[in-house]
Amino acid sequence: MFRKVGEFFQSIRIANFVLLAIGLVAVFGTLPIDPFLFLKPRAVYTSWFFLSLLGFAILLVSIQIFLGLFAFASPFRKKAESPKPPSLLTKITSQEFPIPFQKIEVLQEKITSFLKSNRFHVSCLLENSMAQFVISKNGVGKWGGFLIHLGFAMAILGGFLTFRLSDIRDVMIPEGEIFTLPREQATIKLEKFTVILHSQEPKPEEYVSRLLVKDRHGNIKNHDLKVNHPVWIGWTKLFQMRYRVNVEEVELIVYQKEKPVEEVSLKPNEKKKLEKFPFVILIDQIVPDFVIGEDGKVTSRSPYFRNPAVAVSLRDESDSTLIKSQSWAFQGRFFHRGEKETEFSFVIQRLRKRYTSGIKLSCDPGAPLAYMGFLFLVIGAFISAFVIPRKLTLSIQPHLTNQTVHIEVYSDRTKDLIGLRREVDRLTKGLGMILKEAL
Amino acid sequence: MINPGFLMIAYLVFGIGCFLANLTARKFVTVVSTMFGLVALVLHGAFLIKRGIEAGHLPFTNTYETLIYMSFFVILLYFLTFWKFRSVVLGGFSGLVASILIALTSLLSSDIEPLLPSLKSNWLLFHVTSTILGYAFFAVAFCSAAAFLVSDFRSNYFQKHTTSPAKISEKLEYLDWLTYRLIAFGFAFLTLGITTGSIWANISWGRYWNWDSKETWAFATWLLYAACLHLKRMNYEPSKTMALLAFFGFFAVMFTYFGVNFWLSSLHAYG
Repeated sequence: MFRKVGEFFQSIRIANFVLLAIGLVAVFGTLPIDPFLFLKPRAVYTSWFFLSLLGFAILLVSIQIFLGLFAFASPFRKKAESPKPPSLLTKITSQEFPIPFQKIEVLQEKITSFLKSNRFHVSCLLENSMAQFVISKNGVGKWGGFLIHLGFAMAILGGFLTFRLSDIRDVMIPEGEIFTLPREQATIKLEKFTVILHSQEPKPEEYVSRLLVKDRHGNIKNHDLKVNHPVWIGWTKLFQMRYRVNVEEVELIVYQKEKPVEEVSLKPNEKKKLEKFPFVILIDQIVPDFVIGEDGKVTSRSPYFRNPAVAVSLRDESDSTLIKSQSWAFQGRFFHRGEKETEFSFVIQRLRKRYTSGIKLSCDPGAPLAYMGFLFLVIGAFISAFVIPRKLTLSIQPHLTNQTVHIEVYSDRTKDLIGLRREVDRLTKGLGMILKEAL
Repeated sequence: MINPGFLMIAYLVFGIGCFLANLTARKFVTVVSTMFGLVALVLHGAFLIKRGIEAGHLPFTNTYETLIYMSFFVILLYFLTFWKFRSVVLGGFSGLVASILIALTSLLSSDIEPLLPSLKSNWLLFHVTSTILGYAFFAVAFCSAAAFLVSDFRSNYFQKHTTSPAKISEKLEYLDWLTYRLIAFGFAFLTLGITTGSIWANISWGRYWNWDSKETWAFATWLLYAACLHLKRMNYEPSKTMALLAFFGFFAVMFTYFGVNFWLSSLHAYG
């Protein structure tokens, strides 16, 4: 019964079933339809079923790791490397050469040297009626599968640690505000947030949060937090994620018949009475990058304040719902085409903006284990793909009248049969040349 | 003068030439189609370099560019296998795949966009190149699996009495082995692509794994090809199951690469 249980846990069919099941459940979680057949796709990654599948996969993989370690470290390994009988091996080729078997003894050194020049480890067994060369190379190739399994288990375990123990939070910090990291006993102030635009395109080149950090020892230091350049504060890592901008106040100059008559500061959606005139002004809309589209409507080319404009309405003091005039105010004294001339116009003197930086705080104890797992996965996958272990048995026996020898080449079972045949062809050609020279 | 339309037609002609070479078994046709393909590949490489110089950054930062990049590697890998193993039928399928990949660029904008802040990283080179190389290996494995299935079908229904079983068996064994080796190489590069992507995600977004649609589908593709490699461990003989898995597995690759961008929401919206 124990053997059957052992076979079950070592079964490749079971392993494949688990792998494909994990894959199917994982892609189910990406479905955009929520809910789907009474199930919430995104919730599948934290469901007991999926976590159990991953846990079972780790169990199967751990068994393979244990078996691999046992095989490599076994004190009986030397015995396992002694020549296997041909019945347990696959015959690759056999050839005859017109040379007496006795000469093989003399040629043993040359044959060994030739095999070693092809990067094989050689062990030779010479008896009266048989010469056996057991050759092997690329032994490190046997570690490929082991490392992949080890890496996979470590990466999944790292993921479990991240899931259970990590502390990852998003914070939105306005400029000038302070936030604390209790774990690190540090306080952080966002001094300034800057969006650096490309010189030619209305696209961002960089976002930078200038942070002033006071650590637990009272040391104060500036850090520039950028996308792809996280900052470490103790064991917590800060990442620049997103931002938001709010216009807090607009300072306008009021013009009456092209002469400046008053300055007024007001917040968006705030109604403010003019001091010198019986009117109330209100900012209806703020456009960061003013342009008139092909349809004649005002729109913004980009979310960046490259050509800001403010829609200002002048309203009756007694009844602010009555709009006397509406116009656009820019950072400069000009009018856009089609605008009617009005008695009053406005110019933006200052647009006071306040950026809010979106920062991710992360303390993730699972990351180092996952990274180790990734490293083993990569190394194991490349070893498996590019380093094929070879183990051959060259059996040389006298044939018929003892004036010829029969060379047979055997190999352990291999997935790379065609590559092996090509290698064996090369070896037998080389051996053939050595034997012909000896004649 | 060199544009995706020209490359698409060139590879289509190359693919048809390779099929003809395989069917007629004439050396002249093989030589002409191979030379034509090589010229197209060189022009393709020149187009990539020109694009990179014009953009001022590596030419694989969005789906349009990566499609052209991937089709380049598909043909390059085909020629590497041809140099070693002289299998011209693979060229037919590879030419078609490259042609279809380039044709997909017609659905996308070819404008050169400046790099977003999240893409300004040295990891861009490693992550994208290794992932695209992995996809390209799977694409060529798809071609050899297709050749296997077609040969198997022909041998069962058309060539039963005209071609010796030994010759058919040899051809199937070779195609099965080639499929397996290509999947092994592709698996290594996809593993590198996923891990470098995870590390980059941790640096850029604060988490090495988000179960993002792109990440999840790449992981599912990785699992599928792992199962494929396991199959070889179970059965060293030429296997129709493995050929079918390699054939349909490529559709998973294409959905991961292309479908996710259009049908699912993902942080990988630009790629």
